[in-house]
Amino acid sequence: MLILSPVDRASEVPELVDAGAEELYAGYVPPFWSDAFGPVVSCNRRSFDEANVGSFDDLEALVHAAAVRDVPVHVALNASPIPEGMIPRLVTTTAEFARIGVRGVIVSDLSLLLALRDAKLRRLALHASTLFSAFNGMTVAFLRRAGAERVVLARELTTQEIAAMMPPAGETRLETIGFRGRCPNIEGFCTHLHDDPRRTWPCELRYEKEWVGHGEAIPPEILSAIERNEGADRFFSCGLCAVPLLERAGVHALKIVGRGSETARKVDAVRAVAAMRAYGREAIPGPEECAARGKGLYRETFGRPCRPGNCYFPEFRPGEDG
Amino acid sequence: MTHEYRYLGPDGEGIAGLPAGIGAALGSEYCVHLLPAADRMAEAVREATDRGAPLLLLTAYFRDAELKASLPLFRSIPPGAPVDVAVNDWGTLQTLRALFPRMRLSIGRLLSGQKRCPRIGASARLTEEGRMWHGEGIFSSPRARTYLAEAYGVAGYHVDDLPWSRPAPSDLAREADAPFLFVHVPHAIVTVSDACPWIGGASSASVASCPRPCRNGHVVLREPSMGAGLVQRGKARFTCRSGDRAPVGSGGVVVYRDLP
Repeated sequence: MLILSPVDRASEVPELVDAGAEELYAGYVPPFWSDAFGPVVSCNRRSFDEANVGSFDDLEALVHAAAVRDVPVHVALNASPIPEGMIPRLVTTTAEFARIGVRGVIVSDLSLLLALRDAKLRRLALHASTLFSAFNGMTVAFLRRAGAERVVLARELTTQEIAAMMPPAGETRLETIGFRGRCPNIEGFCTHLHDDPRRTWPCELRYEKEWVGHGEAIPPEILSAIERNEGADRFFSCGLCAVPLLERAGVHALKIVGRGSETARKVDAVRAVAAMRAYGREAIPGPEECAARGKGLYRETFGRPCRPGNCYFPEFRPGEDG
Repeated sequence: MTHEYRYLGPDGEGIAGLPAGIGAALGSEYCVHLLPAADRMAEAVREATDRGAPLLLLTAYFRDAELKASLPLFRSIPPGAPVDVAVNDWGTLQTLRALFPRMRLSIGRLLSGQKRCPRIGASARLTEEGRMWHGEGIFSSPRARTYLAEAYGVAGYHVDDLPWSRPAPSDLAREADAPFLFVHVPHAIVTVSDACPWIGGASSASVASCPRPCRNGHVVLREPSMGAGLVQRGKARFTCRSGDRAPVGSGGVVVYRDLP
């Protein structure tokens, strides 16, 4: 299982690769897109500058820096919907990506996926984004038919569900997201606007609440479950415990979230995932050993115990005390 | 011509009481536990057929085991029956097309691509073009529509009539080859979680069956920066639009008396 790390500029490549990243992905917004839609609507769902490579030349430098270390770079074009008029322009841009050595594009819009499939760009793989909400094997089949060679699964699946999806996927490579950036909502079904320059998103806000229904107040278990996500910091999200099991299941790559974060954070994340993967390869641990080792590694990485709201994989979810 | 469907809850109770010419909608777009059982679906089809009323089954997203377990529900729809099935899962579309090639399939709101966060209407950082982008969706794309029609027999799309839709689904000036739209009013789905607060925040997949406690009430959520309130029921959060725009040019309108 490969470790897929976010990257925002060429200067980050050596540190990330040294830490254990074997694939990188980046964001790039072509000028024609930002001219059309302004600063908030990004073609890769990251509206802040730090999460996007500054220019096409910068992207080329990044791809070159990765290529000399034999590490492929993929580019996110995972906004949806892509307006019809933008499709040919993004296909042309993607052809330029392929020319400079980008090895894959991450897509969440069906029209763009079909257009890129039909463009038959050489040496460029089409990745179906987690925004396609692949909860089942038949969604993988649907996406394969539409041109995807790699599918990023829904973030909510358990390791067992993922493992069961591997054999029917055949040659379609499956990828999971497993570190940082866990959303409380199903990303492909969430339509919240992420426009706050301070990066406080609607899913994390503290809401005033009013109960309408049987009884006078919100039942405490409902209130508690709703409040658990309020103020959650997705920086602390983790799926380390699952890493050995995902690798053993045959998952092609584990994606770390975090375009736009500081280099040190990205490097720490890659190191943590690499350490857990190495443990899995050496010890061939069962789920309980994975849980113990993963939670220990979490403490080392974040300097605090893990919490249920930060856990990617429900089967490893800790109690409130970590 | 506009066909009206009334949402009658997960199990479609009350088809017999519908006025003549009004169709019924049942099921759920966001939770497998809010889908009717196969025998109830068969009964609903009979009731609707007897009254000459069209039926619309809303379906959710499925894990593999859930999709397999739902097959009796789909089998309970007789081939050729006047039943539209709204899919909110690409794998469900793939499965139903393969197993039930005559089934009338449409793309549900969760797959439509429209953005419904009330903040879109309130954000000062969006340009007008940027704001209108949020009302577009897969239904706006001739390429996607052609593919879905040819490969999967998709005959319609489910949308919300949002202030930032362009052209609004209700707009008579929409292009001549516009797709058949089912416009849902007045509750637009803003977001869906896999974790349900009504079962303590656990994944809905962690329970084999659910007594549907979410039918007992909902939570109104307010925060000044959002521009308008949200309402949470089960795993979904909605925003409610006042009915100030009649969805005139649309193919179908799905009306909710209560939150779905």
